[in-house]
Amino acid sequence: MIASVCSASVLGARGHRVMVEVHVGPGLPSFTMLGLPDESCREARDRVRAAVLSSGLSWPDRRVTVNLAPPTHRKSGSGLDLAIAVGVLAATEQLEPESLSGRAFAGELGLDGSVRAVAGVAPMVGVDPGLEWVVPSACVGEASAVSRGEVRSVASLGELVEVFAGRAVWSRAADAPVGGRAEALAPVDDLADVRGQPVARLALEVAAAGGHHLLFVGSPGAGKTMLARRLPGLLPDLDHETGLEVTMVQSAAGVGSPGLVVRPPFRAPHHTSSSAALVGGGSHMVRPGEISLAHGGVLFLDEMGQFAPAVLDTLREALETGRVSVGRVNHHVSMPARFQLVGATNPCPCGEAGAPGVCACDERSRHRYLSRLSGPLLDRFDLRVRVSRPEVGDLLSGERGESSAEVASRVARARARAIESRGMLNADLDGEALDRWARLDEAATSLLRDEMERGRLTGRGYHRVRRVARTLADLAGCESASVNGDLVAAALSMRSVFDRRVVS
Amino acid sequence: MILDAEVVGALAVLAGLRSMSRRRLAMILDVHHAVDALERIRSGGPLSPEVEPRADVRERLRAQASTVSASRRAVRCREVGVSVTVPGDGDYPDALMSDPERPAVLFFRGDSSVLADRRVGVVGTRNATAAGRATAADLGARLAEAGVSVVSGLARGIDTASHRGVLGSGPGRAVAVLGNGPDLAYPRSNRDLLDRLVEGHLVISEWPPGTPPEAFHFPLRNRVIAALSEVLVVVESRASGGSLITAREALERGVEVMAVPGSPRSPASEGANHLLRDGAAPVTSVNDVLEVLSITPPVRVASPRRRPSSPLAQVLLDACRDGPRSLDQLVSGSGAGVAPVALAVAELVRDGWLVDEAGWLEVAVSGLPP
Repeated sequence: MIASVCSASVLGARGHRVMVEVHVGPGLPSFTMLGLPDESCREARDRVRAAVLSSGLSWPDRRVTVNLAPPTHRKSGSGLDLAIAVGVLAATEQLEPESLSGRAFAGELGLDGSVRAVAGVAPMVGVDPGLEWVVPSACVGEASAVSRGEVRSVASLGELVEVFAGRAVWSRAADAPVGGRAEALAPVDDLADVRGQPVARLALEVAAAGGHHLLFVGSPGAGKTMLARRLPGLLPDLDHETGLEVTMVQSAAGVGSPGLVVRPPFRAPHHTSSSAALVGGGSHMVRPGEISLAHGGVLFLDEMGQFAPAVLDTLREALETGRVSVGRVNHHVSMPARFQLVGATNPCPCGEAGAPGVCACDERSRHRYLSRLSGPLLDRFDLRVRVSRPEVGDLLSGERGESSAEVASRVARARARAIESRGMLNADLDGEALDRWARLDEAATSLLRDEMERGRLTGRGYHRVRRVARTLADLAGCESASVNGDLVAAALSMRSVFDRRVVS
Repeated sequence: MILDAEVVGALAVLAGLRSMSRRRLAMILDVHHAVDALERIRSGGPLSPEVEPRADVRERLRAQASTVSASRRAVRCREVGVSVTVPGDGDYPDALMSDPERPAVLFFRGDSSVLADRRVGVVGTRNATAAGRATAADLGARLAEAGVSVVSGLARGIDTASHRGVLGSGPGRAVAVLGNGPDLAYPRSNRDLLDRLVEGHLVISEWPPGTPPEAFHFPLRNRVIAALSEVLVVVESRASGGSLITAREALERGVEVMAVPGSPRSPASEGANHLLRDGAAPVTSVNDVLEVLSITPPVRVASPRRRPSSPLAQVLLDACRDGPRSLDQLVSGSGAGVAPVALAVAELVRDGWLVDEAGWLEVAVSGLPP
């Protein structure tokens, strides 16, 4: 007898359809799996057999052959367990073969027959969202976020057989909150907690409104991490499509949320992370890395100079294309990775902010420290802001700053203005668009001409300053296509940390 | 007097041995001729008993001496224009002759007659504030104007500023005492400065060409700066700075130590202020220094004072007078928005009122009072 069950496997952040074909025929009792299962997948053999037996069903004393089609790509993980078990049951007529049509199955089996959650249910469902997917109860939320059909929750193999035999009905999983983990679980860090530090606050607002990458430079304890954590709170909700992508990535990485993700994620990998952890990888099973998990949100690299240079280098592709691809011998996986980068670094080895007369570092070690960041990556930051320790007075005054909600509403208006008139966020404006949308008034021209004549502003820096000035204008509600001296001066001051001599 | 090549080579080898302390070098050269001493060290032959080092040191010296060729060292000195002098030689500075720890050998480039002028040492921290560097440059320029030579150490910060001040002025000249071979610029960014100093000014070192800088060279270098100065001015020094070593060496030699007062809140001036507390004379103008040298200062015309244009700019400028300020601090302090403050600061920097040091804004010092 033969049965064919629809399921899927995950590679990177995408699902691939897998047809589980089960043949039960005469011969010595045996169980063979074909179709390039990897070690973790091959273990399904013993799990499935035990689960079937402990569910009070019978295992055929015949030759069982399972083929995972198409056999061209490697299948990994335990997500095919349920489909294999269902296939065996159908092939041995313990299940009505008709009950398989229009349905797909995903889930891992326990030896006691229980159906357990697996990573990657969302991208699996994404393979064919029109089917009726049968998934572990814990995964109903993410599955429903992707599915366009019915999603069924199942707790054990026995329950499934009862339902298909008409002796029970589908259990109703508690309706998953469609709201997203970020909002549901973590209290959003509010900008009101930040005392003083007006320039850093403004930089966050500008970064949120224009999509600019942001670098904080400051002493330990100046609040760089605290500031960075507040950026997602200023960003608007994700649009549906990005939300879906984020849900898929999080699900594939096994950090799944109980529903469609709507808030931008915040990821802060440690500086000891390997490039595989950052970009994604693994030898057989390609798992999304931190930069993909930050898709649609914020990637925060604290102590950026401490990351291995090779690791930082891997960020560049993602920053350029918004995707990252991981190549392995027999497959090539591309994952979404469009994130906003926030970096933080000490200004020098001693951390005393290089204040004249205070810092104990000599110029060479300071230069060496910062040069770990230099080059193409540093170039990505439209905003480079010095963060100094808050003034004692600001800390003690008890006066709370403006709240995230107020700032976020300004940010939303500025973003709407940018999208409406220019069709993109300001961080993506090129030279031509800038000439059109960020014309300089007289004061601004003289300021920039002066900087350039002194050799302190390069051509590239000129574009970046205008880009940031345009965002400042949007935030100020300025409708005209030109930017004035105040804004250009503020933009200049927000990228002058490294070397005032040359603002590249 | 010109030493013959064999002696120059032997001196260059002996002075360049890593295990040869300056004190031991002086003792050995007191009793042995340089060529003879080198020969004995290389062959393991006996040195005079009162200068005989311990066996392990002796062995290290032998190993180090055997790897270098005296004749090649002599050629190298000639190639890079380095002259060698020893006590008793005509080029040897008179100021060092009577010094209790006088260098047994000096390598120099440039014009040794510079030391016949009146001499003032100007030293200070490497990590100086803009104000400190401006003061040092000003002292250098104005002392040179009065015909005084300015001794310093070619280090970053105050030293560099004082040298450059002299180069931009005259007729007084600059003396740079190095902690490495006189052919090397340390820091490397001072390459151009070194190249200019060997033209008509003076560069001195106790180490032969090719010797890299070592931490333990610098306190020794500082004693030479102190010994060559008639007056030593400490411009800025942190509480434990190398310039305080120079000041101590100067006091031991009876050289007048003066210090430029700084704000008690400025860590960069802590060491200088301690010197003042301990009795050093304050430098409030160049004339204070010239007075100690009994030189009548040249007459200068003071430039009229200007004020920045806008009231906000004036507030920001005043806020920076107490020490370096970040833009954050200026915005918080002034109560104005980021954009107007940034514009005002940009204009202040452009018009030369403020200096931007990697994000720290400092008041630009246009000059000491006459």
